[in-house]
Amino acid sequence: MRVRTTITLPEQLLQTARHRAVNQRKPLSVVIEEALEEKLLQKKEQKVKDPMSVLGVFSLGAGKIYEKRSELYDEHIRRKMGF
Amino acid sequence: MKSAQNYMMNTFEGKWVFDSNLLVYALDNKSPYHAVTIELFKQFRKSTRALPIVAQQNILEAENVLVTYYHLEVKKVIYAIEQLLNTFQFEVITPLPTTYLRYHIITESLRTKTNVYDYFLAATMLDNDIASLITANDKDFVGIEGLSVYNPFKKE
Repeated sequence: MRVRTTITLPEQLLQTARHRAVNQRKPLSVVIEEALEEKLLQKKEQKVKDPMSVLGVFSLGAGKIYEKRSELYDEHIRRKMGF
Repeated sequence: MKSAQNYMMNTFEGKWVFDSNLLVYALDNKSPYHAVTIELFKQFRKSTRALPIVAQQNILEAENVLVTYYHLEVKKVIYAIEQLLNTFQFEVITPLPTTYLRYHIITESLRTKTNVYDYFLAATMLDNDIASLITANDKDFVGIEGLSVYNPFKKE
């Protein structure tokens, strides 16, 4: 189903789209539709990238990080409290 | 040698908090704990019945470790953590106004002040109706009523 809608565009962008429509001998609505499709599909492709790729992005060799979690806070507390 | 998969629980169900150390191991490809952690993430990714959770303090702790101990750029660390949380659809929980009371109950019941921040994490979890924790430091949570703890790095 196709629906009619109203959008507001910068004048220059609309002008560019009109020129392209004329050059490609296509209706303006088709040119806008194709541009939107290309942009939205591109985003979809980015989304389906391997989720595991966001892991393992650092090479540190982290072993046991702390013996007690308090190690992460103690120095800060000492500094703040002036011990 | 056993593979990472051998150390894993067969199935995870419900809400599980991932402790701060797991976030670091997941991001660090040279960590000796990386392979096991990756396996864990894969299991949660596959499962429709297991939900990964982190507490606000887990995020801060992991970022603090990466920036302070490993001297990584703050910007890179923030980006990596946000990517991880978004990609694996972590739910983030936060301490509630009543959490300090729960923390007091836990501390008094265990009669020790040595694990203050672990008890506060446990209190945050229990106040959010979450009872399951995955951590490399399971001993620090022994005796906390209502909490079940799983250490994926412990050989069965």
